[in-house]
Amino acid sequence: MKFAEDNHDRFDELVDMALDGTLSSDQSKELDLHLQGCRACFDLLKTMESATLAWKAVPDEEIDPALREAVGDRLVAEIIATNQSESTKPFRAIQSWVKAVAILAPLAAAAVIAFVLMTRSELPTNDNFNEQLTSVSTSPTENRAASDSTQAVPRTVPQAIPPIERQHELGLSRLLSGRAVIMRPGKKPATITDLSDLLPGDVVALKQDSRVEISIPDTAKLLLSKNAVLELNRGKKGIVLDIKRGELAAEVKSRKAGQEFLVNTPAGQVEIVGTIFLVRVLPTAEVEVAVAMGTVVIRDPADERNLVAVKEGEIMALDWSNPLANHLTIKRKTDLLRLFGREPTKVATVKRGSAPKTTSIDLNGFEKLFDEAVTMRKSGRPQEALNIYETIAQTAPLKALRAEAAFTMGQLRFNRGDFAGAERDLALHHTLLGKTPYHAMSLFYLAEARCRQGKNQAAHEPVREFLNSYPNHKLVPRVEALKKNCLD
Amino acid sequence: MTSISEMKVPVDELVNGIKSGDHVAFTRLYREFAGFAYAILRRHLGLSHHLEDLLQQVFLKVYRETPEFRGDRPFRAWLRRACYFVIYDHIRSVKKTTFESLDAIDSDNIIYKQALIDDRKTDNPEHSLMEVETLKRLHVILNKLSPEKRMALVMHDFEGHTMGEVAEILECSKFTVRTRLVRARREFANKAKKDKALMQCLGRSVA
Repeated sequence: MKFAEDNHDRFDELVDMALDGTLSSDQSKELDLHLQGCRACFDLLKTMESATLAWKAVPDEEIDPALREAVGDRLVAEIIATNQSESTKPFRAIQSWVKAVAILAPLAAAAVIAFVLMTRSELPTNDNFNEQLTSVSTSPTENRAASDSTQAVPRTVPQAIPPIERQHELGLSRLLSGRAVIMRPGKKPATITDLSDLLPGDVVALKQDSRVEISIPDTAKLLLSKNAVLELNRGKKGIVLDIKRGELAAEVKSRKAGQEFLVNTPAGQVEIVGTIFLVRVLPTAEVEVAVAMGTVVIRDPADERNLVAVKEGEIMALDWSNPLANHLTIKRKTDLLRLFGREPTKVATVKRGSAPKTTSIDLNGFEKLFDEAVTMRKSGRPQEALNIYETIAQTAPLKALRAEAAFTMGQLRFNRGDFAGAERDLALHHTLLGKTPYHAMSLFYLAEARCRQGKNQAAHEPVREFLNSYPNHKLVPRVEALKKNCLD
Repeated sequence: MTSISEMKVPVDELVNGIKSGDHVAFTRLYREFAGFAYAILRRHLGLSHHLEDLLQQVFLKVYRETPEFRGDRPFRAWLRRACYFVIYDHIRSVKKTTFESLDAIDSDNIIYKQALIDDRKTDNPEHSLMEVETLKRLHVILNKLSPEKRMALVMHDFEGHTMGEVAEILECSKFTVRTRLVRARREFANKAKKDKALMQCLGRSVA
């Protein structure tokens, strides 16, 4: 047995040498012979070779221009701030600062302040802020800038920048990605830069695919996404938010007795008793609330006696406005795992006039169907994949699941040249759900499918909607080309 | 963006400018190579909430270490090295815990399906769905390896770097790199074998 083990150690080494690319031709022949009889070595070698090929086959991801700009601004701010604290030649530092401002954007001043703020884990008070700005190092440090003997720079303590009046009374917003604006009564909308003050009454509105983080000192941290529009106010007893559309995820700190944290939605007011929750206002005006920790209580705006408590791990769908609705909405498990790191156990249905009914939902069934469909596609069995998607599109209780199945069917049929079928599926996708993450792509395919069938007039509508809704989308050149070749 | 900032300047001039404390030169260098660095980070880490911060860290590192750059290797290679240092630091620091606060919305914990959903949001019909999905599944397996084994495997086997280059990043001997690599391959293959979908993506039959 030991001999066999020693012998196999040799082949283990040869496998590794093969993967290292260091086998001689004799060793290679020796290994080939071994592989014919050793499944373990064969599998190891082939798995690693396949994985390497698969890794290399993926094209490089392009950087989003907005992300590049945002990071670039932060970099300059950090470098300027670092140099200002290190440099004994403030005049030269200022010259470089001015150059950087001219090239990038007139944000350097704000960026320096932003850097100072960002280095602190807690939001600074006014005293701390001034302290940061005035505590400029006076000790001589190695100057990273090349010395220029023609510029006589006096070695004096740099003047402290005068304190800037802090205007925020409510919190600070930080742009994580994309674009967002703050709308203030009586003023033009202001683009959110890296850090922007928020006053009571401000409305924060996000562009598509943008994310904004809001910090309300000692109270909450919010994350806005999915084209969110949020109004922030301070009520008598605490913070009042008004989420008009999009998604708001929040972590609320424990508060003193009598302090409130309220979130108004189109479908009722959510009173926060818990800590971590999500409110989502869908384009169809349905509202969902999911709670990860603690409890939230939701009030019917028409009848305050109607209360629903959503507990940890539960998801609640609300449609108070539709008295006939027996509304059931389930979010895909993967969405909730991403946001909350745990699976929900219950989904509640709410019907006006009836007590809320909470049921346990097995989300696994449709997850497995989607998995199976993807496997069929990859195995070169598109028709079987289509059959599975049809099943999901017809039987899934969740509109989002049915819409996703419809979109994927449309894509599959389009790729097979079945443009009539693709048109039908993509039109179904639109009726099931408004804007989804793949809405733009769906519009493009729908327009293309109609053009391919000679339905040029009908193709106008999705093209128009695409260009109105997604003027900066990557597919715009292709849509423009489609418009030119097919519609004009 | 002014026309001046669009003009192409040789990299060595930009590097010399940075050494002289010229922020404009650094800005130009960043603009030229941000995409390159981002692609490396993205490939190694997949969709991650931290990509912006990591990109910033890469270029801060470049800025601070520019005085040491002697031009003995292409700048891209030097930048790639900076990326690997940042990636390695990051994967060592990421704690694999469940979500506890908004600060911890960490898409390093995203399972591949969610990553697939997010990828659909890019609406990029040019990328092969299968290739991207395979990469995401590879990330799931790689996330289960220790940071040292993961870096050794990815840098050497997947990316084709030498043992010496890996040793520099991992700050260990080439012998140690080899030992980690041997173990990483077996661990990776064993875990991959249990993922039927990944094996199908790789064109491997499941025993």
